[in-house]
Amino acid sequence: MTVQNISQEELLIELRKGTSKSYKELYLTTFRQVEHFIRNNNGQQEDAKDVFQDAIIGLIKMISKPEFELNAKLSTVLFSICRNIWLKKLRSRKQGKTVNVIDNDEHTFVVIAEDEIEEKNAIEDKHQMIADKLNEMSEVCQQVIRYFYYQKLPHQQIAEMMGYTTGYVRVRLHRCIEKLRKTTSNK
Amino acid sequence: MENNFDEILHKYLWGEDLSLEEIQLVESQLTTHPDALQAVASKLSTVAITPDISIGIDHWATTRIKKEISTTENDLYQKGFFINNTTIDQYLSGELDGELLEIFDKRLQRDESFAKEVEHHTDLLKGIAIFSERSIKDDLDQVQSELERDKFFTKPSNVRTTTDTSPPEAKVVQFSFRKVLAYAATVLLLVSAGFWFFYQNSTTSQDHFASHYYPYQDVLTEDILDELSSFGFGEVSEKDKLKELNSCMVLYNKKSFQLANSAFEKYLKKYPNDLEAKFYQSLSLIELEKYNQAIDQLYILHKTEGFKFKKEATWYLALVYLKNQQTELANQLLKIIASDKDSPFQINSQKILNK
Repeated sequence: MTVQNISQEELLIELRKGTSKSYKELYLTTFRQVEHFIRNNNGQQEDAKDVFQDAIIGLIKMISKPEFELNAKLSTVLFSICRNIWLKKLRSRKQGKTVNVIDNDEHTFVVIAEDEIEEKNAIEDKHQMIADKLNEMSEVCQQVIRYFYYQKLPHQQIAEMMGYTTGYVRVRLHRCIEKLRKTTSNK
Repeated sequence: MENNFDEILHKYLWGEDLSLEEIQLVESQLTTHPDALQAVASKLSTVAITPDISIGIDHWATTRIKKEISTTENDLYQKGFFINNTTIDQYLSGELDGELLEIFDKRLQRDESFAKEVEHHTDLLKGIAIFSERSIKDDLDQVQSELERDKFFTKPSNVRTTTDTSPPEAKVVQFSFRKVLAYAATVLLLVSAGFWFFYQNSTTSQDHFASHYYPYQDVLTEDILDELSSFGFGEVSEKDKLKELNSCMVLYNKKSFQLANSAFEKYLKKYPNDLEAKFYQSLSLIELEKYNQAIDQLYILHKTEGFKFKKEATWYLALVYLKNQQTELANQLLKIIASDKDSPFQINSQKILNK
């Protein structure tokens, strides 16, 4: 298993698209550090796997924001998000007691605001139903909807990623969301 | 041509699949021939006027209006023309302000169906979030299990964890001498039992490998020579290929596995799809005790439906797993082989499993 060689910019683009290639790269470059950190702080490998997945989701949302600037390596950002998530978990486990963190010198991390990581909402049936309907839609619809409504990428960027024009993305998006709206309205 | 364009335009407005060229064609027409648009718009209104169609018109109207008359745009804002999904999105994420926010709020208050629409939109966003996170996690799971297969998670981490080395919390306990002796005896017993167990375990799996492993015989060369002799003077490239493969097999048969391995490597670079060559290369890798590489290759062959040496690949994969002390994985495969009547290794597998 060799570490793939892709540049940070390339990784950024792949990650916005959500390709397996980018995920694999993140595992290869960052997972060990995260596992190490979590093991040092009362956790197991399984915890590390869970935290890692949640952190990648957080990372995808973070890098999709228009104001995002790449001024640290993505692996460093990812590690920092993992660290935050794990500390949050530890705190809620210990309920008020202070948590001592063991950081190793070899890890660098960037400070990430707590509210960057969103709390998970309780899943209601109707929302689950909407997600299922979306799952039945065409691949293109799933992609544009995810890129626009979830990652909140601007039309222009979605157009570049998918090889369309901005106007077409806009129309397509409208069609897809209308279809979803119709199939899920409770009339 | 005319009709064709109408069709494309129709598809465009309905968000159906189009190529980039077609999209650009529509858009260039939209911006360079506004009159043509008027015609289309009126045509559309007689064909099927649904509220949905307005978005296409909305789109070119906005771009045109933005370019031409900003006053009209203002007017449209006032009438709530621009209150659509985008504005709802902006409203929900708190990006609306000033005049627009005012218009929006007013409409929310007096228009009940609009309020319902906004609420449904909020639900949609939550559903979309669930869907998106689920599909990201599905993809991540897949990558993870791929890495699992490559033993990414089981490899001993070379980083030292401090919990392992940190001194245990100091406890002051007083033992009676007899208790200490009893403890010591138990500990000794446990340690030696563990050692014995471990030793036993590791030797048996290695033993199995030793007693069942033999380098697979060469069943290729005959075919190769057969094929070579049947060639005329044409088809030079195919002939070259077979000759090269033959020289790999010669090395393999001479048991010069180091040379055979690099010859196979060179050969496979040129012909990466030759699975049979891959099979013999992985056998060379076993001989060279490069077990991890052998596993990687054999795994692929073992998973390839219709591969000539599929059963052989499975058997050798199981053996290498044994050698590598991945007993769990080995046993899974051995069970498959043991229940496979057609496998030449059925009996051997049963023997290993019964021990």
